[in-house]
Amino acid sequence: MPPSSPEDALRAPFDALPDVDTMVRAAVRWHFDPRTGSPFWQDLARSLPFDPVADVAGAADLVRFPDVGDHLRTVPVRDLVPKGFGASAVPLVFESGGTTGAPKRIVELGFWRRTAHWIDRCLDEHGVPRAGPWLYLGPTGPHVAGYAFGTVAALRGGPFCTVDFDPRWVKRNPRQIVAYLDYVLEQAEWALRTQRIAVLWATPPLLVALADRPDLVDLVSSTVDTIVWSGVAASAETLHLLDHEVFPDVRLVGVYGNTVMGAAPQRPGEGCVFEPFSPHSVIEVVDPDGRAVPYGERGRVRVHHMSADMFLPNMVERDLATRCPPSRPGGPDGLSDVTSAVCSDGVLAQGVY
Amino acid sequence: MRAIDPIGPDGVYRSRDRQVLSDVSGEPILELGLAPPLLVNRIVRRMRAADGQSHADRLAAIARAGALFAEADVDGETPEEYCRTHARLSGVPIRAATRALTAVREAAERMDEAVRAQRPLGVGGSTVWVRRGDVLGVLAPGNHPLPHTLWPAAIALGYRVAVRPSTRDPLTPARLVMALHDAGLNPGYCALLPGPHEAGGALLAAADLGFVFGSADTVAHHQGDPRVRVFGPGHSKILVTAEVDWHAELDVLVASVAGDGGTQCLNATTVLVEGDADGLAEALADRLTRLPVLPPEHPDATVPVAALPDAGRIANTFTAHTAIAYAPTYLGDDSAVLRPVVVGPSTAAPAVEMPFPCVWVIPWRGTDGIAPLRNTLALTLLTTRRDLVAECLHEPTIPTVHWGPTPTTAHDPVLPHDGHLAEFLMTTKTHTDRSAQLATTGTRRPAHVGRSSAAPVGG
Repeated sequence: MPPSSPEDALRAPFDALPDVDTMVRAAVRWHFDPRTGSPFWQDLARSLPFDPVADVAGAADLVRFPDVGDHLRTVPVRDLVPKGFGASAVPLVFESGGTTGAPKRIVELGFWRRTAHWIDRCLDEHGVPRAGPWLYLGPTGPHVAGYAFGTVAALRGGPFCTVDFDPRWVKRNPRQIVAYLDYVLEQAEWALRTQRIAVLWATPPLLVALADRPDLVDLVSSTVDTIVWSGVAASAETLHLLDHEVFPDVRLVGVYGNTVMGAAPQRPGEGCVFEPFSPHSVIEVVDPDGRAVPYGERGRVRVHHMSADMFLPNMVERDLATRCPPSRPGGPDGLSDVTSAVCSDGVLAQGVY
Repeated sequence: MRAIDPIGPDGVYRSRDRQVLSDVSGEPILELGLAPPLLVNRIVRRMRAADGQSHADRLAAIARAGALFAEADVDGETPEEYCRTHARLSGVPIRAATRALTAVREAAERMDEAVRAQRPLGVGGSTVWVRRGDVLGVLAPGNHPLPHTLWPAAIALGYRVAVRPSTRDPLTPARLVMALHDAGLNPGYCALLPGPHEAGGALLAAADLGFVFGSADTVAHHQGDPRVRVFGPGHSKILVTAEVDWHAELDVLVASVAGDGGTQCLNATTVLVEGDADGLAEALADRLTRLPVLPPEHPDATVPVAALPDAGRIANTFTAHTAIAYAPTYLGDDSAVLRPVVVGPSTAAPAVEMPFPCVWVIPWRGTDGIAPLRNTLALTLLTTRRDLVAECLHEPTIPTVHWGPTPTTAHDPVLPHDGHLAEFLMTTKTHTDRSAQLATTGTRRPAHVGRSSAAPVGG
């Protein structure tokens, strides 16, 4: 029986989430209905060579949409707000990229709060204790991670300590990276020494820098229960060393994702396999022709985002990953061993976030 | 498939980060285990803490390692397999690796002599010669194996040396590091850290000093960093003045331009000619076009080979710079030979370093003086003009001056290559000792344990 309105699917409770095809149809109905859709999609819909509401039946049709990523660099954010939220809705605004060239903007009207509730659940599944103080060594301001994880900590009853962390400045000044990481760690030390931090959020390069400071490693090992890492990829060897050699008594939970796609926390259990917030985020691992690779094979990451806030189909990321089978029947594919795609000059380009 | 993994003070470390390298025809030939920055930091820390070894024992181990490198099975690899795999992976003609077998052995045998040659004459008494650090990181090149004859001198000087190989040639440093460990060098003195791009930066940050081999961009990136010694493009040159009959010196010109495939920083990229520049360009081109087109592992191969996509990129770069059409010669197995080119004498585009034999022939007049000869790693002067030679010797941007028919590629492990390495690695210190005249209280001082970093080096 189809849901009576798109909102039923878009806002479904976590134990009654629809399947991906139902979510696709709901998202299309919401965003392309002149009464509920955003001016941004209303405008773009006119240039589409098909009728989204009539012609899009499920996930397989998402690739018919253009990648609208570049439009997000210039569109006035008010135009991104779906009319269904009402004329008085005021969004939060977050950005992706922005180191070189204009950033992409997204609006937050509740999806990232919903994602925070979902991450909260995932952390329970990992056995992460509730209520302990968090230390967040990541970007805030225009970066959604600060808002999302601050919300997660609050939902879990954990005070949220932060530092100022500007990934764009570091990417622009790669020769200063060591000094910058030192500067962040110096601030982290005050919180670690005085606040009995239970959950430490950090990027892999920051954890690598921390691992080179025996005093801080001792401090983290003696107080921190869980390290949540995110922001950039960590290699298999890096994860192995962090997990078994540097922090053998600390739980490590990775969260893959970005501003545009959403979050994909690590599944509980052996190995580091990320699983998206399905059916809001769909992650595909595809070959150069855009076809899904077989399980166990590597390919380029392609994502689709479907929520009441935004509809962002068919966005090809710069990441490569291995496609993993679902952890349960009907569950979404996972992905592992994420690496940054090789740039044209043959070197890997990454930042600290 | 052969695998090369990181090698540290505790031996080979089987990394979970892997990369498969392909030969020039695109066939997988080697699996590389990678050391990400975290592993680099951990291994460098272990190197610092590892046991020391006496100068004499290090020299003996280096000498033995040179012999193993040249003659023995190292990690199950025969010298012949090393040479063949090197040629297939890098595309550099096999004669380069064959020459490396003897060059590495000779450099290792003569290490004591080489270190003594670098030692300032005034050292002794109250002047001691000490290292500027303990760990040297080397971001190694892949254009030719010979640069790997340089860094073992740092071990002789007491440094712990960690080498990040190029993906074009992890074979030479892997064989050398393994040979050094097999030869009895304390393993803390030498590590191999293949790694992704960011691991190179991590190595330089973790080490006290660095050697960086690379392009003009790499040079610019490290410009002004006093902890890094950069080895960039050589811009090596030959000057032929009018009174010299160059017809008789074509062998020197060909060896300088195209020796070992023309990929070394010592290979000449410019020939300056007083007089008949057109005639020389034509004669040189005639000799170079006769070099055979062969796969790199063929014993008679003299010209480098690249995978088709790489060859296409190299050709495009060359054409974009010179406006001269250039087509690599297809070998039939998805690889192509990069045949030599003589540019000039009338081309406006300035000389650039290409990864194949490529030389600019440029007219020179006495009134030009030595200005066009500046910034030259190795300069061969085919002239009888003593005043020019003297000027070049005084010119600080020309580290090597060969007078007479010596190819720019000439290599002697005892002579300075772009200056002596010790000029960067070592410093002198005043150390006076009047401790016998100290008034003491009679209480015993605690015994001091630990290695002294101020121990004089080189006997």
